[in-house]
Amino acid sequence: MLNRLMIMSLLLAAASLRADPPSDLKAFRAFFEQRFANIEIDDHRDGAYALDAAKREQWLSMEDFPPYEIAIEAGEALFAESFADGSGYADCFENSGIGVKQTFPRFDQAAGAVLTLELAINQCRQAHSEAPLAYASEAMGALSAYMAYTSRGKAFAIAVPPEGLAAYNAGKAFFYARRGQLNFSCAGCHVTSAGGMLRAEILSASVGHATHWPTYRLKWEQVGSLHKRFAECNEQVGAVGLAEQSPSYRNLEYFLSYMNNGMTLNGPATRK
Amino acid sequence: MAVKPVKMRGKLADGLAEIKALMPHPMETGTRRTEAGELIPAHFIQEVICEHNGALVLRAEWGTSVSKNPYFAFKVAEAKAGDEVVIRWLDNLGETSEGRLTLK
Amino acid sequence: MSWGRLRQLEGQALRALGGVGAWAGVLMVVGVLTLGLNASNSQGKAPSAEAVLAHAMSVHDAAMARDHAWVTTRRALARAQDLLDAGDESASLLAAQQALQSAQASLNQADVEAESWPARVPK
Repeated sequence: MLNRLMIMSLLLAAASLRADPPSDLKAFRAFFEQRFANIEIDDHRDGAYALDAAKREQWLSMEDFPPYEIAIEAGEALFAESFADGSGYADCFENSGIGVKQTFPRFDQAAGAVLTLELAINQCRQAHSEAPLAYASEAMGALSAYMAYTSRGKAFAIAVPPEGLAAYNAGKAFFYARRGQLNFSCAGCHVTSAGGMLRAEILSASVGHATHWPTYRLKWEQVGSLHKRFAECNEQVGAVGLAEQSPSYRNLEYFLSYMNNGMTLNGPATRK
Repeated sequence: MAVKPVKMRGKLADGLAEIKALMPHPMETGTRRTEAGELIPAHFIQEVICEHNGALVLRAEWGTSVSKNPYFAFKVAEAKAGDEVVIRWLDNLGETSEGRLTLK
Repeated sequence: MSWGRLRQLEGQALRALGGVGAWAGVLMVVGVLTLGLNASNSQGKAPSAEAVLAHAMSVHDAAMARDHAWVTTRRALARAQDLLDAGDESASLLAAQQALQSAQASLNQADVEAESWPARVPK
């Protein structure tokens, strides 16, 4: 009995790893299309606000004058500032860094690892002899918010080349594995139980989870990154949260962003 | 930290102006501590004054329960296009700032 | 009861429980581990708090390396260390044993999940 179970699990594991990213994406979207038949996939970029009319109304009235506006303005000013050597962020990114967020994260072939936008910002700074910014700082939040703002309305275009498959699969495994003392997986809440309640909150769907970052969480009183949210979520289920931009979180962001491919970017956003 | 102006937006309909304001301000309660354990001094908006064409229409006394970068909305009656609405704040350290809006 | 047999039973219990109550699963794992620990310690001298704490830390590190460390372990380790520093050997030993149980459960979760996550991928 035990042997049969083990063999079955191993076969399922092998089958899942043989599945390629495009097939994964198709099955992922199909799940949410079926679960939320009345909601367009793209609408899930508003998270819980796409699932609850009352929350949506409150959120829309805030969008008239969103708290992240201050961060976008600060970010625009920081982005325009030159480094000591005379260069700037515009020199590190294609299209001078305007409207590029939809292609992040990407697989950095030279480094053999996932490159997120925040990591790229710091790599840019270091390449020009500037001290890196702390990932949890307001400055990093502001820069990320500004760059996300310039990509608003663009569709996610994440690529997973053959070299990036291992990182993609590592992110996939992280997403579906149960963790913490509460033994919850990301999928358990945001795929299987999406639309359900977790205490007094509605669980949003994973499809749309990567589109609206960075986010001003009212709880944080500042703009924070997706990795900060990962760590918070992990701690809430009793798992030790990882550091921002750790390899595992970068891989997770890579997988999650690919699962949101084609969706419209709407960052920065406000969330509770 | 440089004092920032109050950001304002206004919507006029049937003589009623709906004013929305975002006030960049740290709003420190004075009970938070730094990583090193030192108390961060209190720094919060104590008084908010709103004027419609120079006349006082609203006065608010705020305390430490208002969170960072307060968002504040209110309505002004008998408003018409061309009117000026001013929001001014004063904090416990004596700093002040304001925002001006001409209704359309 | 041998350690091997214990882990086999543990594995069976977890597989049988499947999606039934995270808490039930965890309690069973911790309960089974407790039996195992008590059984093996009844033979020799009581271990020192320091030794158990060191062991718990290394198991916690192993779980960390696999992204499966638990908050409860971290808390119990901190408690055990504080109690040891304060000179309360017996209380520290208790906290260290709790940390070890939590760390072993978390490492076990890493093992179980490495095999079982593919079943949750939407087809």
